[in-house]
Amino acid sequence: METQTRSGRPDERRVPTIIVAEFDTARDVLHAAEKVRDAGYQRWDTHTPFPVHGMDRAMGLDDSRLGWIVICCAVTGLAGAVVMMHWMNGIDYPLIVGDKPGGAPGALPSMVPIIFELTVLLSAFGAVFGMLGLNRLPQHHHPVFGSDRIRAATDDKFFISIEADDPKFDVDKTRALLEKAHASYVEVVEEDAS
Amino acid sequence: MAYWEPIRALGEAPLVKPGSSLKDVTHEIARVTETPAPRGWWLAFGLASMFAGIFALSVAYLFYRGIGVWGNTAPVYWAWDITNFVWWVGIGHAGTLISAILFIFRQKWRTAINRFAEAMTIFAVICALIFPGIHVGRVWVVYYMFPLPNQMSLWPNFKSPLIWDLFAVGTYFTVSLLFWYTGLIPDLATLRDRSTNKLRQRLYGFFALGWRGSNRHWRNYERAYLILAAISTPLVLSVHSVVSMDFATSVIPGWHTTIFPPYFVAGAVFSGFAMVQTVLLIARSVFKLDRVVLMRHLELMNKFLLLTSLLVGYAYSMEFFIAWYSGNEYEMTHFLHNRPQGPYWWAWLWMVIPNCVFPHLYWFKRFRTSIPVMFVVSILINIGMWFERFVIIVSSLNRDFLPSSWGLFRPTIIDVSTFVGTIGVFFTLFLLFMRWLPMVSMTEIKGTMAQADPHWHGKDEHAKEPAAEGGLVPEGAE
Amino acid sequence: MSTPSKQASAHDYRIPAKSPWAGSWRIAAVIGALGLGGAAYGYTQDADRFAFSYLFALWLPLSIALGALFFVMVLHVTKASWGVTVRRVAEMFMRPMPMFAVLVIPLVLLMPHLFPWLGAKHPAGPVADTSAEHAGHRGPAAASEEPLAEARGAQDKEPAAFRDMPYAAPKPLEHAEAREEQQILAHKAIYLNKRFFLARLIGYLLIWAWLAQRYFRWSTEQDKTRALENTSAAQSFAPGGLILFGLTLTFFSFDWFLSINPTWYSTIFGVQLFSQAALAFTAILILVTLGLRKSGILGDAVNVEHFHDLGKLLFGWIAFWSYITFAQFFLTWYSNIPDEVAFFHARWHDNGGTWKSLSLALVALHFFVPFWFLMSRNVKRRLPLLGLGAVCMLVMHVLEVYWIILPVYGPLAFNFVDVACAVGLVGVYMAAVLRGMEDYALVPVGDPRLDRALNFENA
Repeated sequence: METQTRSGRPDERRVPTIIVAEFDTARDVLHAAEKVRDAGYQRWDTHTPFPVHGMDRAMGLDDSRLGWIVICCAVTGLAGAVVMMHWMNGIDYPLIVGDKPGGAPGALPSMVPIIFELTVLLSAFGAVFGMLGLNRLPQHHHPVFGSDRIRAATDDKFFISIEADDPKFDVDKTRALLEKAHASYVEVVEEDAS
Repeated sequence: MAYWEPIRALGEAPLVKPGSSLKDVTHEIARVTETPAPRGWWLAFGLASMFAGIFALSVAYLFYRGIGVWGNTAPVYWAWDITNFVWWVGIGHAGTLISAILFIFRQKWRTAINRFAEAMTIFAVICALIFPGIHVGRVWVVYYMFPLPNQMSLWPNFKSPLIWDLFAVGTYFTVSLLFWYTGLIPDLATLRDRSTNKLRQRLYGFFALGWRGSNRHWRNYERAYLILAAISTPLVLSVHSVVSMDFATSVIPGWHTTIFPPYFVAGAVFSGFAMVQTVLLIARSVFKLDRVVLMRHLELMNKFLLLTSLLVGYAYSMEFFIAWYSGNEYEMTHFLHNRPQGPYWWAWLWMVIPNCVFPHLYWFKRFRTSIPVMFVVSILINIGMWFERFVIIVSSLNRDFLPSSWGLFRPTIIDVSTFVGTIGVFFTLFLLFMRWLPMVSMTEIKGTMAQADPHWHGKDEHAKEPAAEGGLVPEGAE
Repeated sequence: MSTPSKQASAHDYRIPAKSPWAGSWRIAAVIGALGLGGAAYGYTQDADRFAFSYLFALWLPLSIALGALFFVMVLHVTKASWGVTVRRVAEMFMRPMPMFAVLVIPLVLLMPHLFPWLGAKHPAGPVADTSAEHAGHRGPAAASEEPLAEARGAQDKEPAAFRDMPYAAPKPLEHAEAREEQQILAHKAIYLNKRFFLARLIGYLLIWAWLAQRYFRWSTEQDKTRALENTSAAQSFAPGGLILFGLTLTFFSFDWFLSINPTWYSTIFGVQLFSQAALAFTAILILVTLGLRKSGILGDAVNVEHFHDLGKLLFGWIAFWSYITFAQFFLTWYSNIPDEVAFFHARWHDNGGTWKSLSLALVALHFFVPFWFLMSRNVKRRLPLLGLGAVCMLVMHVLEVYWIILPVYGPLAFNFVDVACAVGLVGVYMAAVLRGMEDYALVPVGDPRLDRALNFENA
């Protein structure tokens, strides 16, 4: 077990921003996350190369709200398609082809393909951009990137990070908690106080 | 034996080469983008971009002279252009099928090929979209297809299948791109974190959007991926169904038949799987990916080819049988006479034999696991499926209700060069993808390994029982 | 192993003697017998009507048994482990397959009442009454026949007489159509003749009974022997079995449901009937499994994770059914070819328009409402709601089968013989299913993938 601060020497003008703890297996990080959750931290996170099964429960997270965003988008797409086609072919310039009227309800069957496509298109936008929005991405700067070891979170290591602005944050206590949870390495990331 | 270990007696097997670690997987896949390209890549890229150049010249000539440079003429107004369009869209479908449908069915073996297949979708749809774009003749007014306000108060006719096509294929392209990119984000972050020079770090970092593997992100990410998979599944069905409606809403014998939508979808998946296999076999040997793309994956793909071949065969037989059963003289003339015995009988044979005969080799394990056999068969299926569309389009048009307007279609050199050119475009894009982006989803591969299971014992106990390394997979392919 | 995995051995999954399920088959049998009695009375009243009602009623249990057979074979061909816990219940539903050989006999005797190629003439056969449509649809509506002019406000400026050019009423073409119908029937005689038809019927029934017995035996033997060989045999036989299943079901649907219309044809029809069968079976599987679980017979073997999967399957089949049914309707509607569109005319403005409401109900309740309802993950995991969805699909299945068959007979008019036949045949079939459940464990306790299925969790 090694522990160090990034600057190597205590410096009063530097303040901790985040603590990063490294774990070797999914199991370790899962159990450590349970301990952090039980200790009552709010502003913390785990970083893993792939989604770890059961981590949401271990972190005490509720269900993702993305589904609601997507449903709203889907309904918008559906309604938008009907309104668009009905107005363009039924009201603004009525178009009667093959003894079939231009607008709803007579033309509804022939509207189905485009209704479907626009519903799907808007749902997909909702899913992707909703996901990015909920995750506050893109965000190229984050305190956790101050650690060099965190790069392994996209390779084969598992991390827990606890931010310094968490109400329960205390450098020594938090570090001790993570060390007790079998972290193989704990790092306090600091930055200039200015 | 723990419940998640593969039951070998029932033919289950691990999905990643036993004994691989998470780091091995990252390294195995990421190194392709980090080391200089092998000579084979340069050769292939040179060849492919040459054909892409031929394509550009052909299209330029087409724009300059007009559609007359193709062989399309009365009564065959749709010929290679639409054949190529349908062929390429169809090829694209396997990508979405593999990434979305197999994901929903929890077919974990898909992880080895899904990124690949998704990329293929995008490039194939690009090739497909080119054809309706250039076949309209006056490309400079192509924006008339879109519902844009204009001073003549003209709107598209939303009862036209061609407009549905525009919306369907456009949506398909957009959603596939989003799906592919969403899947790429964590892997781009891996490449960013592994990169040793500033440029790579900046570029991959920019597209990785600051991904940090956060579980709060994974939670929404996984949900987004699931939703995308769930909506892509009906989307694939709808897109090729809409393509089939270009034909089936008409009253032309050979085009109008109610099984067309599912039949086209099955055919699309069939040809797409064949194309994935062709490209995958090449990539596997050029980039030596046999630790990740196992024989087991290839074998499963062959089973899938057999399944879809049977579905396509079912549709052919239904058309044939119902044409006779209907007692409708036009239907009978077309299906029982003009196709198998008319001027395009050879094309009909090219459609039936590669699509419905060769895949039956895959009933035998010996052929399912032979790389030369699958390479040849996959190419034959690609050809067969091209001929299927050719038969549907050209042989239905060349003899319609009025014998005085019958006629034959003859392709010109520009027809050939445009088509062959799109193959060049496709492979150019594909080779660039293989070189610069992770060909296999590292994240998902890792997610299927034993290390991903929170019940996994970890290093210490693992060292005690090295025999357990064989079963590094939580669940066998289901 | 840090967490203990669930094991199958703790429970025997049999129906205990005190359970309400024990002996419930008798109730079903009594209800079935009453129904059949009513049906027999119905036969004496109107043999034509009885034949149609009986065909409708027969397809209800048969579609479910076939759906079960398909489900079991698909579980084997995909080597899926999640479904192992519900497979035995499915096997119970496919097991009474041989009884259909008996149940079909009344229809065989009444074939001349059903099939135009054996001389049957239905009051509202699809070819019959297009003139009624002209009168009802075109006639009074003529004033509003020009939505374009109307939309532009032209009807005020332009007297109707200028717009409606006088033309002679179309000559009745009934004779021409009847002649053509005769020609087509003569053309089909090589396929649609009594001898070949019955030979095919025997073939279908034999193949289905054989497949069902084979799969049932492989599975129940394994309860005692736990032999892996049974699973591998079932797996390697499944692809061939599915091919046989697909072909027999397709031609069965052509024989019995397509050929009651003299000229109608649709290449997708076999697929449509298949989608019905798969959907209806999934719905009943959910309901029966919910019931068994509620009585505690299944223990924890089928938990919310499995129901979630079954719910997804139900949702998937709803989507598939809608897709196939829409494809058939849409292409027919759009192209408007008389031979084909007659099928939908009979269910829309023909037959006095009586079927219109049911046609719309199918769109609303077989597709639209359950589709949006079952889309949510929470609904699929909340068992009473999932059960509600399954009930809706079963009811709509009954109505859809009714909608496919009875318009050939005539206008929509419920008749007690419909109910009697349906109750009778479903009752007898359910009696056989419930009786079988008492003899076997309701979870395949010998299956090598059972442990995995018990520990299964939806990601």
